[in-house]
Amino acid sequence: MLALEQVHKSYQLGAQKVQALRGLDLRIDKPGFFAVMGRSGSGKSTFLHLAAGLDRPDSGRVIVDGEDLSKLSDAKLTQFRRGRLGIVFQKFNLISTMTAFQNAALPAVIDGKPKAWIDARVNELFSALEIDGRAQHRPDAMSGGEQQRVAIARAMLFKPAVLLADEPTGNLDSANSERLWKLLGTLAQEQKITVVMVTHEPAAAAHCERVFVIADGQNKGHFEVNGLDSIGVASRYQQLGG
Amino acid sequence: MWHLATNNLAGRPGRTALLVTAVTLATVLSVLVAVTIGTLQHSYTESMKSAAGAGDLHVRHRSYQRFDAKLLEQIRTIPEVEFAAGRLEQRGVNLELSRTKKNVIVVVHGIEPQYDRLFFPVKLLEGRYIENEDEAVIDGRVMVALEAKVGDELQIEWQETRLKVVGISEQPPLTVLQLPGVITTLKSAQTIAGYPNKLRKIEIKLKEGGDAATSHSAVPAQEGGTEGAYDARIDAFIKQHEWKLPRDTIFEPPANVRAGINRGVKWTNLIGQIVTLLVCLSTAFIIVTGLTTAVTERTRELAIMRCVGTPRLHIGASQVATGGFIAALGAIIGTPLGIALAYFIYTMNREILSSGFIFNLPGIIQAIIATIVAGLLGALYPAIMATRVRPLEALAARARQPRFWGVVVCLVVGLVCVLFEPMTLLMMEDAEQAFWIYLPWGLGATFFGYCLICVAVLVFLAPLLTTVIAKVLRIPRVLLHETVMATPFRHGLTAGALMMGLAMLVAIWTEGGNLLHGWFNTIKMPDAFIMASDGLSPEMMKIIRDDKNLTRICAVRAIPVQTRGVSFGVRTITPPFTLFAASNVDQFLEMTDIEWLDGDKESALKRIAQGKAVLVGREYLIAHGMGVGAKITLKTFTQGDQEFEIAGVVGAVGLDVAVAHFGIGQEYAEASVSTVFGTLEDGATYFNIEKPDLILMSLAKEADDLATLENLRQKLSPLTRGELRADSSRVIRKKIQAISIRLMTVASSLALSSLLIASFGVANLIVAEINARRFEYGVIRAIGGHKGMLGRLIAGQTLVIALVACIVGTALGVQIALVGQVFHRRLVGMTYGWQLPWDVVLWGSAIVIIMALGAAAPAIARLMRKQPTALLAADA
Repeated sequence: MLALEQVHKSYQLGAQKVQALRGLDLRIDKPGFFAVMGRSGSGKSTFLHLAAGLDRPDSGRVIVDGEDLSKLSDAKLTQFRRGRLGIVFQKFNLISTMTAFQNAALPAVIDGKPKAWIDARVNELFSALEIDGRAQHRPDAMSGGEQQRVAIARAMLFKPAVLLADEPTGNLDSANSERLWKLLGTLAQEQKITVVMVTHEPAAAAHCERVFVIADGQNKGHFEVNGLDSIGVASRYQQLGG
Repeated sequence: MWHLATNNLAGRPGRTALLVTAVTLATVLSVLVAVTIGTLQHSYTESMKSAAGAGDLHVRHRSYQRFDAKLLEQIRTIPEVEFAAGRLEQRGVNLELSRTKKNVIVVVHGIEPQYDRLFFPVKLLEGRYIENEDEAVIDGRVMVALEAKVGDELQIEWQETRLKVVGISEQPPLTVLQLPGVITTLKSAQTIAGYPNKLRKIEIKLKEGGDAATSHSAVPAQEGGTEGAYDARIDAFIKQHEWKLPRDTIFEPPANVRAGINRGVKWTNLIGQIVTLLVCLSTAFIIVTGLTTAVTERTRELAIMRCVGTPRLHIGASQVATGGFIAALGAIIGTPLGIALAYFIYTMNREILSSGFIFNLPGIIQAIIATIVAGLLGALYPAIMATRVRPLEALAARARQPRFWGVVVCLVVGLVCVLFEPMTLLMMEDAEQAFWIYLPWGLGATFFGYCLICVAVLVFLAPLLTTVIAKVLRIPRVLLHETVMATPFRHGLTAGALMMGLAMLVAIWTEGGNLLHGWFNTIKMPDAFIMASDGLSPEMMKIIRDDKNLTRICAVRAIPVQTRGVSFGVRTITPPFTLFAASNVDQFLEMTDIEWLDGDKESALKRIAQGKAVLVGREYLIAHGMGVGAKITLKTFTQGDQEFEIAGVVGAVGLDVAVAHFGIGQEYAEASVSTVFGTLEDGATYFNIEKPDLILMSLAKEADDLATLENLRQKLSPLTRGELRADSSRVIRKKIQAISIRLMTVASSLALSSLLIASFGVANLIVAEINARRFEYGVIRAIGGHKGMLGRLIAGQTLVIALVACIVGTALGVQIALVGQVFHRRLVGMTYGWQLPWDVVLWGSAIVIIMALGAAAPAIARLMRKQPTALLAADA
């Protein structure tokens, strides 16, 4: 489903060159709910950007749903993101001037799908995510949790093989966060998709089945959650050098 | 406060640069117009002064004809006169130089050498001044045309007179408006002209002393002078001695000349002020949209400032200071550029503007102040917006839906401003008062109102425009619509700034085109005209009558005559003169196939035959409601003010056009826009008309106009010493059309400059919008939107602005043209058909669209080059 092989990536920050990933190897071979944990500056956001095809590695390969992203042109990459990937950001996911319905439908509108198809699919997703009453509201009239559910609906529009979430609960309270983690886990299970959540919160990772630890741009290893609580996850995370 | 202001500017250097560039261009335009007008005015003034001379006053014939030279001796006997010098001018003299076999048409100035240099100083480039008979000083143009030098002998065509060149003088100012000149003795000039005892002018220098104090009076002693200060000593002299002059001659004080100069200066000042006003409006709107966008972008920053205790006043004042600084910087950079451009234009036109380059400091200062004021005023609204930022709401940083009531306010206020001028015209009977309210209030309010209306039009048309554009550009309609509707005020006001240039183009070519095609081209002119400045002798008339290519002729003498109580045009600028055209009225009516607006031929001829009756042009009926039976008072040359009864009102025959074309009676630019037609008998009795100087001709169908006229020219030239010209109406129309189109093209360049300035406003808006929505664009890229789609989205947004500008700009141009037509009717009595020049509208709209897209293109290209992560990182 998702594989990064010896991926290197660096950025120029002013006069300094920052090595964000140094030969990262990470493989996820099955559907499920996975976490990628790391401190700030560990390279986890870079990992997500590369996995989402938003950026290209300096070297190495990024394979998502069988496709080597590094070989795709910009146009093909764009198409790939639209049809086979879903992305949820931490905040400002939604276009502020569009309604929830319009935001969720946007990839399909860009793809040129018929109106009937769009209406049916978006309504189905809104119903499943329990936000059908908010369809005509703009983001400024919705709570953070509702906005993130709209973002998930948009990400799920084309039933992607992989859904990537970048600190999706970073702006939510604990109750909404809890609800969102459970939702992502349910999606992974019911839809049989691979959900990869980048997070620094042990409480978030505790809802996943496996946790990968990234530090200093490298994969430090992974562990199975197997019912661990957040303290347990935190402890295992620290053991792996996170 | 200054720290905040500099932070505003330095924080977004690219956008600051865009705003400063827009203001710079606006300043360049204002300064260019101010300096060019100043230079033109100076050349014009110097030309008028040089023609008027340095005397205290002069004597002339009321209609600029020759008069008896005996009057000179009479003037010299007046005790207060220190010097008096006679002058005779003869236009149209053909000079030849056998050495080079070249010839040139000149005006010969006959003067008294011992006196004349006191009145008309001459700058000699070579040689000496005239001392003896048959000597001549030629000006630079004659020298060039003949390749003449000092010592050459010049021959007058058809005469035995020879003139020896003793000196070469500098060209007078505005040479293009005058024939090349030759100065010779009065006696030589009288011989050349064939009028041994005639003069055209007597220049007078009064003795010093007596009541020598200068005082200012509002009422001039002589007719024609409308305002200005003049010497009370001169006034007293005139009052005391005017009874000594024959009734057809007058003393003319400098006030009259100054009045003529002032009128010309006033017109050009008006043009300058209109340009400055429009440029400032454009600048203000660009700064309003630019700074308002910046305030919205920086809402979080402003909220944080409020949170840490920055007073509202500081925040607001920093906005005003920012606007003022942008305007000042634009003015500082733009002023020298404007001066340099004006100097370049001057160097390209040195021949016309021969009095030198004028810096016009007052005009420049006015342009700078206007720019800075526009900047400060433009910054007021953003300042108010900034002070109203509430910290907690702003920190939430959610997009707010624009309030609908704001759009309604824009529409209502806009309509009130737009309707201000039409209501003024409807309610005010005095058209001149309405005109002075129109400039600048009415015009300014109209432009301002349409700018506000752009907001409402954008909101109203957005659904349609975004649907069409989205389809054409293959972008999601919902994305385009929401992008535009997110900030309708910014988009609308940017469209407002953009539409001004198109409005000016449409107004210029609509009004100009309608005047040309709807009025000028509908004038039923005779086929051809012959003009002889010295009048047409019976021998010349016989030659013309016998020409087999002519089917009908009519002889006319047309002179400008002062009216009482009736004037056309703007009173403070246009003098109260009309053209009195004396002819055999029966012949005249037969050959011109004239249109009757009031009265009929039979009863009109009957009444005219009784004397003291005239036909008047349609302008009398339209502008003043004067029809058959009404009385018009003319100041006659022989019997003072006399009433003439109107026997009929007729359509235009182009007589005033022909008179203007041939320069008849144009010594002091007292052009008439109206005509009265009287008999030769009344002309002789009241205006000393002796012989006609203009022939109207109908050509036979098979006759070639140019060949016929050339043949006549050759036959008639030997029989006259004055200027002889013959032109067909086809040629006259062509010339006038060419001049009109040239003027409209020059005016259009101002409109295009305004468009260029406004396009920087578009660029600023697009850059700001991209910056404000960078993360959203990153999300769009992340979820599968192509970079091409993003580019087309921004282009679509720009197109919406441009199309709204095209629609509203056309409407504004149409209104300006319509108002212009109303003023033409009410002030000048001109009526003409109305047609919108669709080709100009289409071309102008295309230019607006191309300029707007061109302005947005760099920002679009930059956006498309950015990687999605770079856009997403903008949130950090």
